[in-house]
Amino acid sequence: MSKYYYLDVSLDFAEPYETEITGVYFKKNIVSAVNQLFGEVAAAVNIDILKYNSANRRAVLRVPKTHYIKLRSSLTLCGKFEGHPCAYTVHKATPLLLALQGDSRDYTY
Amino acid sequence: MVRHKNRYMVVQINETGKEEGKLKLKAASLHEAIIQKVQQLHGDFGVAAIRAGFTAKYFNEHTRVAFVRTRRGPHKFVCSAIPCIKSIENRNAVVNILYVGATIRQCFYFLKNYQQEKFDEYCVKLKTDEEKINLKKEMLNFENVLAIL
Repeated sequence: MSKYYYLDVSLDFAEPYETEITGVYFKKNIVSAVNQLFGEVAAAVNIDILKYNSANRRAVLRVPKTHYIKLRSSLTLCGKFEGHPCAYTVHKATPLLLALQGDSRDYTY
Repeated sequence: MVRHKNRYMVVQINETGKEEGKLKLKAASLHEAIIQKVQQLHGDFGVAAIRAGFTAKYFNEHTRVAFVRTRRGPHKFVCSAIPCIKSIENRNAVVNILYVGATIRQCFYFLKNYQQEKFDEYCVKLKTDEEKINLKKEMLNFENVLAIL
């Protein structure tokens, strides 16, 4: 259907972490998580940040469909950001970018 | 229960610049080098996948041949990592895969022919029969890999 998968991801810390995280550091952390779990072969694929909000550390990621599972499991198993305990929350994952805008789960009746 | 299958590989280790002659290695060095390379290329997942049933044994110093056994499936990680190995025991080396077989019997067949061929090649340089007999003994000694079974 689509060549890519899109993920709405946010980075949460166990203890308050004040330092601003730029998009570059955000991506670096994700790529190194993939590198740790699946090595250079998997870290070589294009993982793109389409949109990033440093205020709530939330981003929209794009990854080729074939590597979606690898990315998602790496995000799950990643527990450190520069030595600080953290966790990634995947709010939504979809092969259609438009679905991040709103789908049937967001309806209010 | 379904039986598990294995893949056996015969590999050759060439130290860069010294493609001829003996190469002495510790028994565990090749094993370590392969694990390290898989860690680099395929990460924790790759190492965890190949760990079970993985053995690498150095076989012969004369022909610099070694034996590797892995489970079928994760052998793809090993196969792709072996040609990328650049150093063993801090020495620059290149590792070639000579043969990949499904049974140890097939591998032994290949190895026997290979050793015989190499033995004939080396014999040209030797003069006395005694030397030849000694060389034959060393080259066709399969005892140290029989434990791989």
